[in-house]
Amino acid sequence: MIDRMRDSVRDKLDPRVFAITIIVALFEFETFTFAKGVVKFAKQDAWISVLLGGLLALTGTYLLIKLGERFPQENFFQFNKKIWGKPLAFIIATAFLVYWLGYIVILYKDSSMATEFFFLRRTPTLIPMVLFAGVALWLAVYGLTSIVRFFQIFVWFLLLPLIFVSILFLSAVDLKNFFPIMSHGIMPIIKGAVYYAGALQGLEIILFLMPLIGDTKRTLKPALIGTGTVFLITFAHITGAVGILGIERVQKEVYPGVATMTIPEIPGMMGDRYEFFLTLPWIIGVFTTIALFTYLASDGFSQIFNIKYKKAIVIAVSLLVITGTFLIPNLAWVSKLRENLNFVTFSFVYILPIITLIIAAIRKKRGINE
Amino acid sequence: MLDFFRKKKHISIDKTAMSNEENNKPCMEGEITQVPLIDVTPRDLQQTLRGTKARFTENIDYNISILTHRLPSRELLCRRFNIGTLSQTRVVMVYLGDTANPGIVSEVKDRISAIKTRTVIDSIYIERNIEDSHLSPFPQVETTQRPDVTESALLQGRIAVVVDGSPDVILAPTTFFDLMDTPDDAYMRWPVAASFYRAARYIMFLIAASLPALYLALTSYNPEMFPTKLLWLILASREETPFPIYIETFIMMGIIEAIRMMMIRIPTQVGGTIALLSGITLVIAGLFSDFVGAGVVVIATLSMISSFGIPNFDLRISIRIIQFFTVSMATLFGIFGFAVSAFAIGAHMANLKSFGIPFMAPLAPLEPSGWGHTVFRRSSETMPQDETYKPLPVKGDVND
Repeated sequence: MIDRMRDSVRDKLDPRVFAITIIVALFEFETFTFAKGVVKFAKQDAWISVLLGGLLALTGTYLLIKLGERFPQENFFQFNKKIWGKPLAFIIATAFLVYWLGYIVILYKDSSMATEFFFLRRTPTLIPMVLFAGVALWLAVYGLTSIVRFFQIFVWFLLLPLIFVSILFLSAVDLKNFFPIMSHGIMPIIKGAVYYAGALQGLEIILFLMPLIGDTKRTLKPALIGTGTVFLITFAHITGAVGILGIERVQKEVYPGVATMTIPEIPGMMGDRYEFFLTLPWIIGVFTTIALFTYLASDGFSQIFNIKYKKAIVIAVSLLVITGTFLIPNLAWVSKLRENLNFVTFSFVYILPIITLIIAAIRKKRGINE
Repeated sequence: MLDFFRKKKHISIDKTAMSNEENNKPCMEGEITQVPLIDVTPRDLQQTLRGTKARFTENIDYNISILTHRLPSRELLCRRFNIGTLSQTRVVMVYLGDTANPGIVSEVKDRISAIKTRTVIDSIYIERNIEDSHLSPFPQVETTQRPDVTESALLQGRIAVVVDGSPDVILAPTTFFDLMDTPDDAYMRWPVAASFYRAARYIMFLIAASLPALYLALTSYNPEMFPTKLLWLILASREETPFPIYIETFIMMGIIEAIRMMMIRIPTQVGGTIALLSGITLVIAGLFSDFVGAGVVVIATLSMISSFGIPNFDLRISIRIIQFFTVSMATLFGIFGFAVSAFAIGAHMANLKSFGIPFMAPLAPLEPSGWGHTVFRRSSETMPQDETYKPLPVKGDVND
C-alpha cells in the first residue's frame, strides 16, 4: 500500500503542458531572423505564406497528436518498430539522430555568431558555447520531465516580451509595403509557406512527450493552442518586419528582427530602444531548444544503440556538436544550411510522421495499453 | 557531481534512535498540557496585523497541545520518535491522517528514522537531515513559529515536525510558493489587494536576484540597450568615479551585507539607528567624494530593499548570495553570462524536489488549481486548497 502510494508522489505531466512545451520548443533563432527566408521566396506576400504555413503547422500538429494518441505509452522510436518493421525503423531513427545533430550544430553556430555580434565581441566563440552546453547538458541529464518543468518556469519571460514586441510592431506597419498582392503568382507563396512550416523545428516533441502525459485524450487542444500561439506571434513579427522595413531592407539586414525593433516608438515613453525585448526571448529560445534537442539526441542514441550510460552520452553529444560547429566556416554557410534545413525539417516533422500515421491506420497498429 | 542534487539516500538506521512503531496514535490521546491564552516570543519573525498572537515555545508538549486545541480531531495523528543516542530528543511528526499523502508521510517517517546522531540541539539538525539536498541554496522545508501557519499546512496535507527544545516547527514538503507566502495574504480582506502584494513580492524576488547583475551587464557590455536619456544620466554619474563599475557594485553589495549583519548583531534598541546612520553617512560620503556612482547606489539599495520582500529568512539569505553569483557571471560575460547564471538557477529549481513534490509546483509542473493560494489569492469564504500535495496516481508517473 505504502509503496504504491509513494509512487504517486513522483512526477506526472498534465496534458496542458503541451501548449507551453510547444511554444518554448518552437521559438529559437528565428526570433532575430524570422522574416528573411519567407520574404526571400514570397516577397511582399510573405504574410500569405505565413497564413498558409500556419495552417500547415496546425494540421501537422493535429496529425502528430493523432499518431501519438495511438501509442500513448511509447515514444516515436519505440512504436516506430511496430509500424515500419525493425530494419526500416532503425534507419528512420538514425536519420532523425543525424537531423537533430545537424540542427543543434547549426543552432550553436548561429547563436555563437549572434553572441559575438551583440554581446561578447572579443571573447572566443568557444567560451559562450561551452557555458551554454554546460548548463544545457546539466538539464538534459535530468530528463524530459525536468526540461518541461524548466520550460514552464521560463515561458513567461519568453512569451510576454514577444507579445509586447508584436503589439509594438503592428502599431508601426506601413500597409503600402504589402502591395501589389500576389504579383509573382502562387508558387513563391507556397514555397514560402513550406519554408515557414519547416522553420518550426521542435514540433516532433509531441511524439516523445506523449508517454509522460497523464491523460493523452486531452492533449489535442493544448497542442493546437501552443502551435496557434507561435503562429500568431510569428505572423505579427513577419508582417511587422515587412510592413516596417520593406522587402528590400528585410533581405539586406543580417538580423531583420533587431533592425525592425529600432523603428517603433511609444509616444510619451522615455525609452527609444526596445531590442532588449527581443534579446530576452531570443536567448531563452535558443537555450531551451539546445537543451531539448541535446536530450532528444542523447536519448535517441541511448534507445537505438541500447547504451545505458546516459550521462556519458549527453556529454559526448554536447562535445560532438561543439566540435561540429567549427566545421562551418562563416555566416553565409550558416544561412545556406539553415535554408536547406527548413525543407529537411518539413520532411522529418510533417511528411514522415504523417506517412507513419497512414501506415499505422492501414495496418491497424495501436499501442498495447490503448 | 550531479548526484549531489539528487535525493539523499538514508541507509544507516540507528535502531536505538528509532521510534516505537505503535506510537502512531491520535494526538488527543497523549498528555494534554494547559494552553495559555497568549504567548508571544520576544523576537517575532512572522508578525502580522491580524491573526493569532500565539507562538510555539520550546516545550514540545505545549506545542502539540496548541495543535490539538486548534484541530481537535482524531485524524490529527502524532508519530513519536526519540532521536539522538545521547540526548534522546523527542521529535513528533504531526499530520492529518485523512488529508496527508501516505507516500509523503512514509517518506518523512523514513528520513527521520534514519537520522543517526548523538544529540539534536535544534530543529535545524532535523531539517538538514531530512531535506532532499543540503547543497541546494533553496530551503526544501519551511519553518514557522506560528500555530495558524502550521494548522493551515496540515489542512493542505503537509506534515509538521515538532522538536523538543525548539520553537521552530518544520513543515514539509515545501515549494517555492510556500516560502514566498505570508499569513497576511490569507488574512487580508480584499483578494485583489492580497494578490497585488503577492505579485509585488515575486517582482521583488526577481529584482533582488537579478537587478545588480543586469545593470552591470548592460553598463559594461551593452550600454546601447539603455534608453538614450537614461544612458546619459548613468554616464554622467560615473564621470569622476575611479573604479570600474563591477568593483563599485561589489563594494556597494559588500557594504550592504555589512550593515545588514550589524543590524542583526547589535541590540535591537540601538541597532537600527546605528545601521541607518552609518549607511546614510557612507552613501553620502561615497557620492560626494565620487567614490561610487549614484547609479550603483540606487541599484544596490533597491536590490537590498527588494530582498526584504522575501518572507522566508533562508530564502532571503540564499538570494543575496545568488546575487553575488549572477553579478560575477555578468562581470565576466555580460548579458550572456547573466542569462547563463539565470538558466543554471532555473535548471536547479526545475530539478529540485521536496519529498517528491517539485519545488516550483504549482507553476512547474503546471497545476492551475493551486494558483488560488500560491501565485494569486483567490476570493473564497473558506481556506483554498489545491492538489499540489495530493496523490494523483496517473499513467504519466515517471522516475527521473
